[in-house]
Amino acid sequence: MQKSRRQYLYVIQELTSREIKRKYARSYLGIIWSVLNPLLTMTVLSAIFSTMFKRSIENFPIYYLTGYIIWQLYSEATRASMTVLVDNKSLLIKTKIPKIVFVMSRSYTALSNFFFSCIAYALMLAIFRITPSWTWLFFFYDLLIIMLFSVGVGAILSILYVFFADIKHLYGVILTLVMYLSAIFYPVDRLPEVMRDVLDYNPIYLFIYIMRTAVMEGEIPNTVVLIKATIISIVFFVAGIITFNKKQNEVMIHI
Amino acid sequence: MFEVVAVAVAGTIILQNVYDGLYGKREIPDYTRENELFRQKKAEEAAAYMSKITPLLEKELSEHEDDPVISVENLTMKFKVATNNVSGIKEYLIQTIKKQMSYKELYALNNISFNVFKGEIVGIIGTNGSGKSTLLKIVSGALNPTSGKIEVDHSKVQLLTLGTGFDMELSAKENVYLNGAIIGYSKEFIDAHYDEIVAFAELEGFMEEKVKNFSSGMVSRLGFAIATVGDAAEILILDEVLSVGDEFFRKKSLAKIKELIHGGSTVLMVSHGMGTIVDNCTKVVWIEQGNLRMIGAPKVVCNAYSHQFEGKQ
Repeated sequence: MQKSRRQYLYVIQELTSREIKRKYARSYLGIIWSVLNPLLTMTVLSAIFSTMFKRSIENFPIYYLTGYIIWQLYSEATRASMTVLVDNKSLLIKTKIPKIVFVMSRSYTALSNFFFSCIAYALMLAIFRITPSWTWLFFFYDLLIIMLFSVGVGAILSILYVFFADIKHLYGVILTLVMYLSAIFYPVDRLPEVMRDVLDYNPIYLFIYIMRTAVMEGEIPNTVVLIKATIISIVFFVAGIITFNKKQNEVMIHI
Repeated sequence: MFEVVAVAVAGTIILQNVYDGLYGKREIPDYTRENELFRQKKAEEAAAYMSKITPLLEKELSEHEDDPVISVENLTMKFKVATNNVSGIKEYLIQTIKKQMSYKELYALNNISFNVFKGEIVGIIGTNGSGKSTLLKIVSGALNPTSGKIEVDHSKVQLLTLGTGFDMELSAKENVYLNGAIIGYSKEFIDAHYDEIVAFAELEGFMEEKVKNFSSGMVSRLGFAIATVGDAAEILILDEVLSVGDEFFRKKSLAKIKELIHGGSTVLMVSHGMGTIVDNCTKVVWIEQGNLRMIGAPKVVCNAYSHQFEGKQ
């Protein structure tokens, strides 16, 4: 058992390093793009919106960057997980390790990219003189539940994608909608009452909220939000794994 | 902006429904009865062939003292083929709700039984689409059968198909590690055997090169080298591996396989080249349209296979 778990980790590591190598295979700057990308988008978005929302948000660049990197983590993880089974057809037939490992590897790839983006994030935190606080520990807890959520959603999507390739386009639309519902670049209190209620049930928004309170403001996030986010993540994770295991054989026939 | 999208979506749905209402849905035939008949026919076929083969299997079992390493019993693999093309969620939903999904059944494998004993080289032959690849996938554990039993230790099985599983954008070295990990080698194992793999594949000096610049022969050499390194594989499954590559490498890989068998490995191979099968196998299984047609000595079975169409023409 111990040995096989080590093997799974090794496979995840290999698949991830391959994904990253592929992603930047033909670029000169390579992985540095993961750092540059959030910085560049932050600059533009700040230039546009920071004066607009000056009164309700202080440190707009940090406000935006926090939301953006989490959003990027989730959308990259799920979008990549969706096609993982189809992309790795020939490897799936060969391997004896559980196939969910492939889905996990895509989430892990997004997480590795996220850590590179965190270099940019840390830089900005230092520039804006945000003082470190013990509540930063929630950062890691937040990452954990985001990962659980992404693997769950990714597992379901990867199965769906095998049977209906349309899901790729549909999910693209859904992602855009969810992004606008996650308050990445606008203040929540500007929203009408109804929309605020909707936001409260958007897990991505909850993840972003936890991160902002813990890191930017150095406060303990609302307990209700913490519990809600945790429950949603675990439910999706379990549902994802169950669906995946149940449909695995059908997928292998179909693929 | 959103209003426009919403109106467009609603409009499309209404138009579609009006269209469907006016021109009627396509009539979809009901295959339930046909499937029933097909099932009966398949069962009869299987019974006819098995009545000849079962005594052989029993005789074989009594001759061997040890238990077979692969034991296949009444293995059946059914596929459902959707008869009306459902390619999108919308159609799928509509048809599930209207209960219009109907399937035609297809037997990739129909009630197959055979045993493989330690040290044997078993060839599997059959025309295209006869179910060979499905059988290999089931033995290697990638697929679960619809019904029937298969007893084999999946952790010992190594499936080798030609040139698959390589990432063209990565270098050969990176591919060795990736493929090795997928097959189940630990990092230490690959580190220790890396030079051996390179030497066997005869790719010294090419390992930092991207695989997309390789010829197909080089790729298959590398694949073979990874799969057979050390004495990792106890049960080796070869899917059309020995019939390609240049003559010298073929000889070398044959020698390697014989060496593996000498060390206690068992081999299951699929090939369309009767020469390869007759020369190397100790036993041959002939599958045709999912049915087990014959098991026996290579020469006898291959002869029957090659002459199967003569009587009919």
